[in-house]
Formats: sequence, structure tokens, C-alpha cells
Amino acid sequence: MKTLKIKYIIAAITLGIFTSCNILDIDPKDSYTEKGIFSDLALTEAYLTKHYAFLKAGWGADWVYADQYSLRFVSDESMCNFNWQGYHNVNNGAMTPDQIGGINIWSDYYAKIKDINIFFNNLDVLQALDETSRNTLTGEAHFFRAFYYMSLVNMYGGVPLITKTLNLNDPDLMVPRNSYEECADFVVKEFQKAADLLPEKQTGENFGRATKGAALALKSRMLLYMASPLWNTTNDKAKWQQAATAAEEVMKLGYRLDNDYQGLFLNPRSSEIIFQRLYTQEFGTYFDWTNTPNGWGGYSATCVLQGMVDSYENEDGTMPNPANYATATSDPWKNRDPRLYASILCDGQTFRGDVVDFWENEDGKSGGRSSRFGNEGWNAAKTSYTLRKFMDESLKNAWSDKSKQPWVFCRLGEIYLNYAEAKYHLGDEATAREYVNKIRARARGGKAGILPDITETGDALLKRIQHERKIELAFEDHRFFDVRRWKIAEQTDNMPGKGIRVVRKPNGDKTYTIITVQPDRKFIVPNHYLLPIPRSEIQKNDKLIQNPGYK
Amino acid sequence: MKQKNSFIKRKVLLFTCMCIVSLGVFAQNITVRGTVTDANNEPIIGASVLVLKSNPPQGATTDEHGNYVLSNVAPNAILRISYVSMQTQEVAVKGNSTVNIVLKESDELLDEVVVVGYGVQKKASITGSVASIKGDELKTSGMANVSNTLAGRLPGVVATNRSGEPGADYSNIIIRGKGTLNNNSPLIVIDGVANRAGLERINPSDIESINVLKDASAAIYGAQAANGVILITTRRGTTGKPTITYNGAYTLSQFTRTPKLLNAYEYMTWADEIEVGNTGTANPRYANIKGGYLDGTINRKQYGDTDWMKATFRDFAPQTRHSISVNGGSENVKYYLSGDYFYQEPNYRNTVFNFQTTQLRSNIDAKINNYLTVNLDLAVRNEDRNNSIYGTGTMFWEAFNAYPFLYDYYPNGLPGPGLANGNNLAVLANGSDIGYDKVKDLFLDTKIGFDLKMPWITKGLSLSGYAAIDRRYRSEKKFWDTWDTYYYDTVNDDYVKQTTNMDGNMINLNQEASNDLSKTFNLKLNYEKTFGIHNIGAFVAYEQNQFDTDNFWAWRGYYMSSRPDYLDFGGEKDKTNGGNAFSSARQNLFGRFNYAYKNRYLAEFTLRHDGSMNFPKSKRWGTFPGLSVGWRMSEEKFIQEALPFANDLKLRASWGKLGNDRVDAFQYLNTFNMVNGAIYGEDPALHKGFKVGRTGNPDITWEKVDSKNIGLDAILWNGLLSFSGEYFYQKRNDILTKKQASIPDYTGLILPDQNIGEVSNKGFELSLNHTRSVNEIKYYIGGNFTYTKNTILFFDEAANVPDWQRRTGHSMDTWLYLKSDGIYQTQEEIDNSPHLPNTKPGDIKYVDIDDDKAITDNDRIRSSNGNIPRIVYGINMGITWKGFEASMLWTGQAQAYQMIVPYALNTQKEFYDNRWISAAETPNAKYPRAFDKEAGSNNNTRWSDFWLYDASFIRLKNVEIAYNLPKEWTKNLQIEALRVFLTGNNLFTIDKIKFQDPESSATSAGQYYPQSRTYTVGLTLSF
Repeated sequence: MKTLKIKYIIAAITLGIFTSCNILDIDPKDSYTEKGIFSDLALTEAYLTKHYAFLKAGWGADWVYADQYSLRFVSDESMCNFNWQGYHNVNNGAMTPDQIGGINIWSDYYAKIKDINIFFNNLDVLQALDETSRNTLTGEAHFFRAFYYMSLVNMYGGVPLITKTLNLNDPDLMVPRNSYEECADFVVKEFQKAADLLPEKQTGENFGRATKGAALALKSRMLLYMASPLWNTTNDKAKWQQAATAAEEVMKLGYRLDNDYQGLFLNPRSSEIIFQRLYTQEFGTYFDWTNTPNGWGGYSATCVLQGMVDSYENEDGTMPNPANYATATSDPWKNRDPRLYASILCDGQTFRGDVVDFWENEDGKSGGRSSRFGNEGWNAAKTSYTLRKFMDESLKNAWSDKSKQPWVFCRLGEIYLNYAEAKYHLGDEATAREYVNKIRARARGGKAGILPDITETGDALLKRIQHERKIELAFEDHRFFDVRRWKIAEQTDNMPGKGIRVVRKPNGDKTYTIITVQPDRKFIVPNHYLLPIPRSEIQKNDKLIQNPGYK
Repeated sequence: MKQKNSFIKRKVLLFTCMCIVSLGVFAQNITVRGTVTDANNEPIIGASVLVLKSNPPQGATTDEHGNYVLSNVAPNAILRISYVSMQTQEVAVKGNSTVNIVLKESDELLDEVVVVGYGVQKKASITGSVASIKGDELKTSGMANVSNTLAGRLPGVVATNRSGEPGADYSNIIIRGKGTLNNNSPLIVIDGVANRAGLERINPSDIESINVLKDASAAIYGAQAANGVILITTRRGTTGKPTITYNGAYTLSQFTRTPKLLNAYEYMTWADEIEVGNTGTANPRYANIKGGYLDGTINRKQYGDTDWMKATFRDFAPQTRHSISVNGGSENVKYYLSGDYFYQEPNYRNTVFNFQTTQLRSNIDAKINNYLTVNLDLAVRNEDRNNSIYGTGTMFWEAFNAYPFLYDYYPNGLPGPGLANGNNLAVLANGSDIGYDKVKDLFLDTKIGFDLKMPWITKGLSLSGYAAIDRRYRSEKKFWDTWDTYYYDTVNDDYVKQTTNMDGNMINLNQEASNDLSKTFNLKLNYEKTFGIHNIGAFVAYEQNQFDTDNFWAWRGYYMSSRPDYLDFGGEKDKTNGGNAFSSARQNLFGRFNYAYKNRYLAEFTLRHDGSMNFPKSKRWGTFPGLSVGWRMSEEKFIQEALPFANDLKLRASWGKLGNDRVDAFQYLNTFNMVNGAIYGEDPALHKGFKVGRTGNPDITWEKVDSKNIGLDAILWNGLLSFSGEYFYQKRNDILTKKQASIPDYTGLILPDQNIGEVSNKGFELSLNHTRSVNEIKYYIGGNFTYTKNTILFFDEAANVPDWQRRTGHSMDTWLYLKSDGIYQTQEEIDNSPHLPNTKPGDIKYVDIDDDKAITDNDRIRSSNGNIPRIVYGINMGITWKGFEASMLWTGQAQAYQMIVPYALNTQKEFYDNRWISAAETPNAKYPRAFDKEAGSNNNTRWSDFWLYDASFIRLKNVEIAYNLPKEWTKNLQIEALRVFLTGNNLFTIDKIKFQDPESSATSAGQYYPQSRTYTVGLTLSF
């Protein structure tokens, strides 16, 4: 009897186990399928708009985030206060296929390009969406792909042009680099496609997404670069013409120069901004505190170089004489282009409601709060200059107030300068001067009689256009490309990096001594006109030819 | 032909012998017969009865009734009767024609029962490679983590302890070295339930045994068996009077090696030399300051001289353990109950942090009737980690980067500023003001099982099964408080208070909770029977496991004060939360068949059919066979004759096909995970976005290992010497690894694992033991030695990688490094040789391997092996005399290399004292010029053989001295036994590295929580 009962139990258990046979059929709980995403408008929008957070902002030196870097540290504008960022390897001519110094976007942007290619793979699925949304999304996809390729092309030259999704066993994985022209043309076409599909304005909760203007503005930049000496070796005027036309198209769209040069970088609604990346305080950056001098508890991340400081004109339009530092007893930076004070912080100026004290005492072991003997002196700016441009001075609590100002990728000021440069090369010097002078007019900040209009012609005019670009677009990640496309990097980036030492005497007088902070700054020709392709990529693919000069 | 030859030989031999015998023996030989039985009067079939010193050899084997017959036996002959797992006996014939023998079960050596996969086997009949150790032999006193007691005790087990951090001080355990390019960890099975957590934190007193399956014997675990299997068995009740045992221990632990860093003056000198080297300045930062330390004029209000290692860490940290157990039972119910409490503090100075475990176990077996037994096992373990918000590893990293001229506490008692944001390590180590990170883990392991004998169907048939429901609840509460530090304001000569923390200077709380549920069901049909000289054992079984976990977290900031520290009291702004879940499952069918002929020829066959959800439907199921055979040579008459001192001699061999499915699930799918997206809008807001995950590999399946093993076991002279040796060869193919070396990054693909790698792993193990009793002294000495060497046969490599960097043909885990050639003395020397950009005199000189006149990554070469030792060994010895016991374990490793690159702002004194200063002053400097982690001087921090250290060592791992109080002393106190002991672990080490523990895997010259040395005093009491 008892055994019988047991038998039933066993039978029941056995049955119970074998009926639950499909326990292995499990789907991931945190993942969506490709089809699921692209057949749903909200998900497709989420998929695509994520890319606004992939476009690398130029905050730099903020090692917390991978979605930003900074090219101001690898130009003659400034040096990074922290050696371990790798930017110094670029400064010191040590950029090689083995160490690319924190500005290597190769793998990162190609991964993003793949995401966009996946989107284009699903165009047929997208037919289910309404046409307006579909157009906007498709336009954005073209815009992103153009943006990524433009960044790659400007850094590496011609790159493999991948426009379809690849899979693991694809026979076509090993491809050669496309030519610069093929890539650049592709970028231009993609921006044009984007411009054709995108709305002229994005408002309300879509404000900040790419617009027709953004696509055209970046197209104008690409065309300008293509027409520049680095790539346009025969000085083909047609290329300059295309660049000029593209700039004109943008200028028709109703953007206006912002009267407040310093404020426009803190105001996402500025009439001048064409394309930007937005932030909130909660999901903001530490840009302000990494770049604030140590006297306020910051890291002085951007040490502006003496050469940059001395590029700002005197109010009367002459260039400052560096010899004057040796004789000055106070404020040697007075009466300069107002943009100097909007962009760079020098000893004795007011910042966050207090006076900047980069000075040291004569004893060589004590000094002001933002000096190397001051508060957390190891974070003192090595050049005794830091950044003011982009800074939100309303922030008071070091490290707890996060920065929410936008990163401006593109604004009308650049378009004017693009246009002036193109027009110059087309022989229309009057128009070139006109647009540079529009920039200078705004730079005066309402102060009459300073920064006289430029009147030069010929080579001198070109120099003025280039100079204006250096000042107006300072620290906005343009200089790195400009000195390369103008082929002047072997001069600008090939001299020791200087700063200043301010010593305060007991009577309050100060002395100013130019010091060398980066003696080994080098630019190796031809190597550093283009970034090296990472060695590992070359090793994987025989067909990839390394850029000139690199071993 | 062969047969004939041996026949003739035997004839000749016989003839010769007869001549000798006829010369020497005059007495009339007799015929002897008898029966061999066991203690229960059951006949023993197949026992061997041997006439000693007979010539020619004479012997017989008992028949199915246990009877034997020997004719022509000398009346004064001596018979030796032996049978597997029985004590061998010698009996004098004394002229009797009937000699009956009762064999007693042997209580040691051969009789030892060893836990194997899904069952137990007598050691004598094991044919696979199984290393085992009893819980009593583990010497766990003073060891906070059971995984740290295995090194040197089990041949074939490579256990390396990389850190002594409380709560994270585990050993990395791999079996027979590394066999795969991905996960090498063995399968852990606790009380028959696979993948149970707790090997590290289990109450050591609960451990009955640990057994390790190293070869095809693991095949019964199928797709999870390739890396070997560790079986932990907990104690169960035994029949008899209840025994209560208490174990108590108090331990002091210290670092095996504490880094010696620069003092303030040395640091300033070092930093100035770096600054001068990088910028050429004549006026480095400390030029006018550092002298003040020498002449005493330093401004003491501002500048301290802090040894951050001393300020942060103390010499000794306490830990205690108390455990109590009750063990007993009757014929029908047996029980083992235990409780254990463990408390440990980190080596922080004046700290509030600690780590605690509390656990209970109840293992009960009940016999319901003659057929049915049931058991219920319950185990609860609570692990409490009271951690700092700042990880221990990071504390070391910071201690290497904190400036020694900063005060920990100013002379007036105020805390100094720290490097940034108030990270004064003295304040952080103390921890009372900074908040906390409390992690609580509750493990609840339950198992209910039955065993039903079914003689009504056929004798020897039984059905058993169990259901194991394991839960784990984890909660973590991380509270960032703000705290006060002071910086010295040079302008106003004043100390200024800063209230900060390193998380945005905001008081905030993050709380997380997760819970896991693992359900395992097992049903097994057993059959065991002896047919005369044939022993048969077999089972078939079904098992399935389902695992689910989910979690959520919530965050709030903007707390107005640090109390109350609950979510309700945080600010309303930016509050946020999240959560997700994961499930997995397995299904398995498997069986085993054992056959023994005369207990002499042994064979075992296992087969497992495994389903793993990690793979797509069509690639999910795999079949894993294992076969092993053994030959108990000592049961052979001719061996017994030739080697009469051999109690046991066994030759065994195995082959098996095992699998490894330890990879991320869902790699067969393209994955798109929802994450935070971009910010846009006139009123900017964060949107959702997607992260594109791996590209699916629809062909993914488990990796396979073909495992071969051959071994020889011997017990000689009744245990005076025992020996075991094995040779193994494993070949793994279809190893799951990513094609990251060959698929270009421009494809943008996030690669899944693919079945592409191929690795061989071979080696040998030896163990040798000697035990002996002389009068009242009993002693033992033994050693084991393991050598393993793996070779990559195929690995994904880039098409153009230089030959000298290819991994194929090398071991896994090699270092890739530049070859150094001393230190540059002059600029001229630099100019005349290929060098890295910006090399300066005093920098390391590297060799241009590819001869392209430049030092690039192409010049890197590969080391023969990495920091997983090829050789590990242990030497174990002990002695008892009356109540005294002493034991000692030495362990060591060899053929291991560790890259240790100084990479911090401060540095080890060793590098400072022996640095290059100038060609004139230090032409023979051991180390390069002053350098730190910054790019300007990073030419010296490249991985090179300059920093590659031989990590061989031998260390005194464990010493225990104990005294058992005489019974007559304790009897009056109603105490059964009282033992007091002193234990030391990791007492000292002989090695070549000196400034960092040689067992460490830290590449950063000491920036990690070091291994622990412990001193323990304790007692064991039973009554």
C-alpha cells in the first residue's frame, strides 16, 4: 500500500518535470529587436536622436565623459594643464600610430556610423511612419552620417567609406581607403540630402535638433576645407565658388550676429547659433570647474598660451609688443580687443566676483590664491592664463554646480568668415573685407573708435582674414583644422609654448616675465598634417595605407 | 607465439623452484581451504589469498561463496588475505587444513570515500583524476576566506590570492592552469547543487570535504565542466551521542608588504626634477621651499611631512570568529546544526568600517521506513559589508598620489585639505564623517531531497531526487555625506574650512536592491549490484535549473542634513531611479555506468546531454561523453608477489569531451538596449535613446575540450609512502573569443564571441606523502607539485602583426613589452640610436627590434608566460606527540612574471634612492630619472622588461601549533576535548620583487590592497 503511494508520487514528480520542457526559450529582458524599433515612431526617434549625445563637444579635459574632447589643447591656443590627458604627446610631436593623444575618434565615430547604416537598412520598415516624421528622421540620419564622416575626413583624410551594415562573415570587410575627394563629396552630398529633408526650424520640445541651416552650415565648412590649400593643391577656383555659394545659402536663413559676443555661448536661444548640443544642470558637465583657476577650487585645465594672448590686437588695431611686458608694473593687457577679456583670464582681472591673483611673491614660495603657491597650488595654470570663453560665471559652488551651457558647433560668425575667405580666393576682396568687418563691428561691443575696419588687399588681406578667424573663433575647435588646411601648422605649432610669471613686489608693483612651459612643442612634416590611422587597424587590413610620414 | 614463450618460461621457473623447495622443505605439505567473510558474515567474493614466500607463487581467489582452496601448502606457511577496502590480514596456517578468515573494513587509506559528480566512490575504485581534502585538514583558522586555504594543498589546483581586502580577499582558482581564452573559472558545486555561491564565505567548520574533478571525471557536468569542478560537501549528522563543538579564534592581520613612499623633502626633490626635466625651468615649484625641511625653516603651519601609508593604514587589524555546532542522531534521524559569526576590520587607521558574516546551517536526514530516507538542508548566510564610499583599492591609489607635504592633521588638530575635494585619506580611512556604503547580502540555500530504495522492482534499484531553492537578497545603501577639511590660506595666515565631498559636494543617497532566485530540480534513478565478481553501478538522471534576478535602484540628492539618511528626506530635484531583470536556464540529461571486474579492472562511462540557453535553439544541445578505466595492479598475484610492500597500486586513464558555455547570454542576437539619450528642447530635457549592442553570432555554441589523463596511484608499506602522479593533455577547440584582432574597427561592429580559438594545455602533477608513527610520535610530510603549460594553437590575429608578437604558439597571458637596454647617459647617445620622441638623458633605452630606426609598438616582444604561474607546489608537514600538534605548509610558485610599472605622483622609495640624476653622478643608476604618470615623462612608464619581474616565490603559508588538554584534566569539567592553538598565515616569503607582494597582479607598483599576514589564537571545545 505504502509503496503504491510512493509510486504515484514518483510518477507525479517525473511528469511535472518533463512537462516544463521549454524553459530554455528565454528572451533578453533589457533588449529590443531591430524591427521592433524601426516600426515604432517613438522608438525610432529615440534610436536616432541619441546621436545628438554622441557628437563630441569640445569641453575637453573632463575625463568623466567620453562624448567630448578638445582641440584647443592641440593647437597654438592653449595647453592642457594635465599631462596625463595625452594632448601633450600631440604638442610635443610624439603623435604616432601607437599614441594618438586623446583626439583619436576613429573607432568611436565608425561605431556610430554603423548605427546610422542600420537605420538606412530599415527604410522599408520605416514606411509605416508618417511622412513628415520619416523625412525629419531620415534627414537627421543623413546629417549624423555626414557629421561623423566630416570629422573623420578632416582628421585622417580619405577613409574607408562604409555606407552599408557589415556582418561578421562579410567577404568585403577588408577595404581600402576611399580618396579624400570621394569622402568629402560624400559628406557634402549627405549634408545636402539632410538639408533637403530637415525643417528650417525646430521648436518646442524639438528645439536643438538638426535643421536645414545646420546641414547647410556644416556643408559650407566642408566645402571650405575642400577648397583650402591642403587639399586644393591646384587652387581650383570652382571649389572656392562652391564654398561661397554654400555660405550664401546659410546666410539667407535669417540667422543674425548676436551683439553679446561673450553671452552668446551661454544662451541656447541666441540668434547666431546654427547648431549646438544642449545640456541640463542635472546632466551637465564639469567644464566650469575643470577650467576655473585653483583659487576657486578649480583645475585651471585650459592654460592659454602667451602667443594666443598676444594675438589679440590693441584697441587701435596694432599688434601688442611683447617687449612691453618687461617694463610694465601693472596690467600689461589693458586696451586690447574686447574679445580678449571675453575669452581669456589674465592676472588682476575680475572673475566670479573676485580678483584673479596669478601672482607670486618675490620669495619664490608664496603667492596669490590662484598661483602655484596658492590654494591647491598643484592645479595652478602653468602659463598664468586660463579660459573665460564659454564660462558660466554665475556658478558659485565649486564642483556641485554643474555646467549647462550649450556647446556651439556652428554659428553665423563662422559662416561670415567662411564666406570672406572663399570670396577672397575668388578675387572679390571687397566682399571679403565687408564680411570680416561685420565680425569686427560686433567685436567692438558698442565701443566706438576701436578695432578699425580692415582695408588691406592681396596677401595682407588673407593674413587679416586668417587672423580674424583665429581671434573670433578662438577655442571653438577650429584652429586645429585651420592651421592644417592653410598649411601653416609647421610654423604655428612648431615653437616652444610660453606663459607668463607675475611677481608682486612688496610695494604692490608687479613684474612680468615670459617663461617657457612647453619647450618641446613640435610639428613634424608631413606626418602631423593628418592623424595617423591606429596601428591596429593597419595591421588588420593590408589595403589600408598609413598617412604620410608615419612608421 | 608469445603465449608459448611465457608458458615455457613458467615451466622452467617451476622446475627450478621445485628443486629448491625439495631441497629445503622436508615437512609434508597440506591442502588448506576456508571461507573469507566480512564482519556481517557475508562471503567476500574475489578476495585474494596469497601464500607468502611460496615459490613458485601460490595463491587463490575466493569464489562466489567466499571459499578458496590451496593445495600443497607448507604447514608453517603464512597466508595474506586482501580485498579492496578491507584491511589486509596475515594468518599462519599452523598445520590447519581449514582457515576461515573474517576481514575487517579498512578504516583508512583505501576505504576513504570520495565525493565525485553525483555520488560517492571509494578512493580505491576511482578511475578519474580527483584531488580531495578533508575539512579538518584545511587549516582555516585566521583565514577570512575559504578560497585562500586551498593553495598548496591540492595538486592541480592553482589558487592565487591577489588582494587581502576584507570582503574581497578571494583567491583566483583555476584547475590545471588555464585552458581557454575566456572564462577559466571552475564550476562550483555545493552539496550537489551546481553554481551555488559560498565557496569563499561558507563556515569553514561546516566543510566535510572539498573534492576537485580535474579530468574526464568532470564530464558528468557536461557543458560547464571544461574548467574542472570543485565539489564542496558540508557535514551531516552521525549516529551516536550528540557532540557540541565550539570553535573560537582571534586574529590580527597585517599587510604582507607595505609600500615605502617618499617623505615631503624627497617628494619635492623628485617633483622638481620632473619639472626641470620636462620644461627646462630654472625655477621649479619647490625650489625655494624644500630646503626648509632640511634647515628647519619650513612653514610648519602650511607644510607637513605626512607618511600617507601610516596616516591611512594601521599595522594590525582584528578579526574574530565564533562557531558552534551540534552533531548527533539516532538510527532514524541524524542532524548537524551549526552557527557561525565572523567579524573583520580593514587595516584602516581608527576606522568604523568592517565586514561581518553570520550563518546558520541545518542538515537533517530522516529515515521514514526501510526504503525511504529524506533530507532537508537549510543554510542561511548574511554578509554585511560596512564599506567606505571610497573603495579600498582607490585608497591605495590615492595614497600614492597624495602629496606628503600635506598634513593629515595640522598641529592644531584640524584635518588637512587632501588632494582635492576634501579627500584627506586620514579622514576617509576613519570614515565616521564621510557617509558609508553598506552592502548586505542574504543567502538562503534550501534543499529537500529523498532517496527511495526499490527492492520490490529489483534489488539495488533506487530513486533519488531533490529540489534546491536558493535565494540571494542584496541591498546596498551608499550615502555620501559632506565633511570638513581645512586648507591653509597663505594670504591671511588662517585655516579655512571647506565642507565638501567627492560627489559634487552634495549629500546624496543611492539605494539598490536585487534578488536572485535559483531553482534546481534533480531526479536520479540508481542501480547498484554485485554479480559474483562483477560489480555494476549505474544511474540516469534529469536536472534543470532556472535562475532569475531583478533589481532596482533609486537616488536622491540635495539632502539638507545627514540625518535622517533615508530616501524620503532627500531633495525633490533630480531624483531618479532605475531597474532591470535577467533570467537564465539549463536542462540536462545524464548518466553513468561503472563496471568492476574482480575489483581489479575498473571502467566508468558517463554521458551528458546538456541544454544551455546561452546559445540559439539549433546550437543549444550538446552531448558530452567521458570514459575512464583503471587497473588495480596490486590485486594481481604477480604484483603482490613482486611488490609485496604495495598495499595499493593503481594505473588509470581517462578520456572525455567536456564543454564550456561560460559566456554572456544572447550573443546570437543583435541587441538594442534602451539607455539615456540626448538632451534637447526649448526647455532642455533628457530623452531616451538606444545603445546598439553586439552584432549577433547565430552560430555561437559552447567550446569543447578533449581531455586525456593518465595516472598512477600507490600506497606502499602500509602508508609509509604514498604516491600519485598524473599526466594530462587537454585540447580545446571552438573557444569562444572575439575576432577583435582581425575585424577592423571601421566596420563599427561590436563583436560577439565566436567559436574560433584553439588551445592545448598539458602538464603533470606529483604528490608524495610519508606518514609514520614511532612510539607516541606521529608525523607526516608530503608535497605536491603541479606543472601546466598552455599553448595557443589558433587565435584571431591581425594579418600584419609582426611575427614576434603573434600569440599563436605562445602561452596565453603573456606580456607584450619593449626590450630595454639600460639607461641613456647623454644626448649624443640618444641622437645616435632609435628612440621614442622626446627621450632625454636618464630615460630607458629601448631596442629597435624591427630595425626600422624608430621605436614603435612594433618593437614590442612577447614574454614566455604571464602572471599565472606554470608551476605551483606545496610542502606540508606535521607532527603530533601526546597532546601536542604542530603543522606547517609551504607554498610556492614559479615561472610567473609580473609587470610592475611605477605610475603615480609619489613613488616607492626604492625608485627614488636609485634614480638617475646625471651621467656624472649616477652612471650606474638602477632606475631612470625622476618620472611620474604624466605624459612628459611617460617614456619610462612603457611596459618593458625593465619593469618585468620574476614573480616566483616560496612562502610559509601556514603554521599551526596546538595542544590538546589531557582527558583526565577535562573530564571533571564535563568536557570531552579541549584544544588550544596558535596559527600564522603568510608568515614570510622569499621572492625577488621585495617592494610588492609577489602574488599580486597589480601592475602599478603597490597601488592595491596587499595580501594579509595573520596571527591567530584560538580554541576548540567539545562536550
